[in-house]
Amino acid sequence: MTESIISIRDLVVRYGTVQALADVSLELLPGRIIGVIGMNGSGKSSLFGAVMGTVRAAGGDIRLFGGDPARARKRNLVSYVPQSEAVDWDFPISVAEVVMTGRYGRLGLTRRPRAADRDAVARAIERVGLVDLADRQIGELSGGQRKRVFVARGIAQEATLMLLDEPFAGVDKGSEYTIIDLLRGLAAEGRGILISTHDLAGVPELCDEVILLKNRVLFHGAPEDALAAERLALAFGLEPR
Amino acid sequence: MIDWVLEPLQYGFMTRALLVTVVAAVTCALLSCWLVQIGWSLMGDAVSHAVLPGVAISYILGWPFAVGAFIFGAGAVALIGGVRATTKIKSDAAIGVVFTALFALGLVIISAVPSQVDLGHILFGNVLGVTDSDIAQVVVIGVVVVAVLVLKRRDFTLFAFDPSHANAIGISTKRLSVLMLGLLAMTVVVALQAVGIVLVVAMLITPGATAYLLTKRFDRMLVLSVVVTAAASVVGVYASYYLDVSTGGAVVLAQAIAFGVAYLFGARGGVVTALVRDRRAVTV
Repeated sequence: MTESIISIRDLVVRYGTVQALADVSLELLPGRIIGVIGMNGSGKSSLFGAVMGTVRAAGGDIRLFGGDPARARKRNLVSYVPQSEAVDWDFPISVAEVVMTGRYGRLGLTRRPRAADRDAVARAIERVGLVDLADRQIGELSGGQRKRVFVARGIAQEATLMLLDEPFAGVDKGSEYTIIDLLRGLAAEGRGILISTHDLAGVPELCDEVILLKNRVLFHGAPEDALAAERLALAFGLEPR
Repeated sequence: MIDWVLEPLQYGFMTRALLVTVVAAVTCALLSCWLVQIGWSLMGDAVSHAVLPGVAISYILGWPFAVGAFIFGAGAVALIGGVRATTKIKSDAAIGVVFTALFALGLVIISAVPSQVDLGHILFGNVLGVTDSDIAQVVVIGVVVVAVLVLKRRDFTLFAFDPSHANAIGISTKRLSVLMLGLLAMTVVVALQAVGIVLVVAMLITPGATAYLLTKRFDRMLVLSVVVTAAASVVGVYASYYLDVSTGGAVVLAQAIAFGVAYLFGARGGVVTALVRDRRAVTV
């Protein structure tokens, strides 16, 4: 039996008296892409935060690669693509420099890169198709290219779990397909990918499984079933038509 | 011209003032780049004011000034963190309450204890009157801070740019922020000898803000920040000699003028640069 990349049992997250997540369970297997769909406040960020170790679980159990999540992070197995709003696009940093930060966990005290790290960065940038833009400041890229920078960082990191927060927000249709192809290819090599999104762009083409989240799991199954109108309506708090 | 440069250097107080000012400028210029990118400018303001009681106590008890200043600088950081963590008060309010309280405590101590402590010198600097012991403290602390910043620069830049990634790969952002705040407290100790408590915040913000307008790369930003700030500081010290004006004031004013030039003509944010570029784009 293949080992789960993420294994969550009965996760509970609370902020004061507010219950952000209740009894959430999920398994992410190698080669699979799971989409977590929900509105703002549905607990998507809490779920990601719990996997990343930035949000404390009030109950339940999270395992990454069958063991302690902190240890998986230390082993560079976890990569994270932030949502656009969380990034300072004016920061004086180039594409190649951002991708290099994916190697930092493997580097020594001063994080001085070696030849092998430069190679890994160059290969990652090539894979996402940004070779010509490697020396650009990150704010000079289009929405889709910006996402690919952070995916390249995860590739350079050699992470086996990739978390993507709103990967298609601010991305045009053409770039959306480029990113879908890229992520499908990465999953096919045995990685596990978890995405969170508040809209349905790209979901049927990208995901193997979908979770509809509204502070608890409303639905977990195939994308085509999740997209049935009444289930979506429930997740987004609308009256079914 | 050469006489003009050399003349002030025949006075011991001028060479000491130059040394202290340049060490402070370089230390502040480096740290400043991260402070402005992380958004900790106000933290610099807070720590610099909060050290006043520490400096006063040091003078009264005859300690090296750096000891008292560091204790209160670090204490202020801890207090602010504590207030923020245990109440729902917004961050800037927590900072404001803590640093003004400590500053007031400093004023009360100085007024209550009759001594030769000159409040004016502490607040506005007295770089022309620094002692050998002051210089030793400034140089040692400055060198330590610069060394740590240079060694850990990539981690600090990652911390400023994307702390969530740092967490994801098991780099402790908590440890990095504590280290940076410790360096901030030490830097304040250095800078207050050069320009006094009130203007330390200028040394902590202006260099990074200036360099940010000049380049789109962080490594270049560090270099430019140091070069521009050191040059402006030397100009400031000379100006204060020839014009017979406040040294700390002249140094900070020279840095502000450098910022003004970057604001108008900087490669990145320059207002005039952008105008020229637009006009060229239209005519081409």
